[in-house]
Amino acid sequence: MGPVYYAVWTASFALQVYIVARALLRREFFPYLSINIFVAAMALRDVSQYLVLMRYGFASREYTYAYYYSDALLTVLMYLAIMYLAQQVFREMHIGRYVRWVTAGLLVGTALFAGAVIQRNAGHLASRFVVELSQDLYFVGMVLTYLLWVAVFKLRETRTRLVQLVLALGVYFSATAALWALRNMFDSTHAIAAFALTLLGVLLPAAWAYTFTMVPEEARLAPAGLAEEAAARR
Amino acid sequence: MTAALIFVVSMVFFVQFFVWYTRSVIQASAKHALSDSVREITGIGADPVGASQFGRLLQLAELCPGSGSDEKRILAVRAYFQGLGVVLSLIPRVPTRALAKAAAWIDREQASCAYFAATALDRRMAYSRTLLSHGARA
Repeated sequence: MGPVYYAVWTASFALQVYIVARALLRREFFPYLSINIFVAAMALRDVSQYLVLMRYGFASREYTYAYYYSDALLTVLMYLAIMYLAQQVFREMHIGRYVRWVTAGLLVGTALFAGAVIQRNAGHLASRFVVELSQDLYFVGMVLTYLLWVAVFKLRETRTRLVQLVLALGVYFSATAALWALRNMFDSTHAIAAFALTLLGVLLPAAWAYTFTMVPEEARLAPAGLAEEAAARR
Repeated sequence: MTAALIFVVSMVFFVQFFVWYTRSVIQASAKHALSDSVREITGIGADPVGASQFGRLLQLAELCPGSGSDEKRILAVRAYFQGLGVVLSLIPRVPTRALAKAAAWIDREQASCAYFAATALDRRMAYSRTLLSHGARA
């Protein structure tokens, strides 16, 4: 691992700490609870991965386990973030209870699926199947984000913050799923995919940090304007 | 086979999400009315901002010191502009209605990017002015 990796890692960690610290200082931690928990977990994952890397080395089995397990756990937390955003979108329809049930069902389903896969492949966890598992988890995340975006669009949600949080998540999930799939198809892309995944790890906190910093809570935009072909505004 | 399918679908979604995300950033800047000083300095005048002015406006914005908070957005919009340019260059010069519509759409999108660059310049100029006035007072 070269200095570029460490620089990207440091930038990612700094952005994650910034988002959580800013939320705490501005008393926005609880209003965006799931997102802040997810970002805090990202920071925690980075620290734990760094410690394992320093102690056991990049090529060690311990680092491989730490990397894949923490990533799978983070994906589950990311589902929670999606469901939080869904609750915000459906707020006025008073169906928050159903969204929570769907979240719980999804979490249990994902855990059972992952558990079954792990049990069946316990002997070679660090091999091909973890790549496949990550690819599937991110793909499901991407589909969920897309469904959420459709809801944003159909319900004419106008909160700029919410729209940008959802879209940044969509960019992250789709790019990550594509990278895992690429790695699954071609083993030789391992190094490129690993670096691209590290870069993506910066982009999501960067996009969210921008949204929380630059977009005020009361800012509004029309999502229809983002999708329509005729964008002639001037 | 499944991996290939997931790759293709994810790439399609990625492009779509990226376009929407960049547009949401650009749309926020579209509400910002350009100041007279920026219109005068850049020579835009009262005309609408055109796609061809993107490069020059971005260069001017980069020359102007700013708070650094808009760098990520500039990066995303520049990537979007260049991506659109690549697509435009791939469109064959055969005059069909669909292709002409696509080219016109790309031109409008690139003009939005240029407007974004102008607003970035405007904000940076305002930032520099504030810095200068603080310096003069100190």
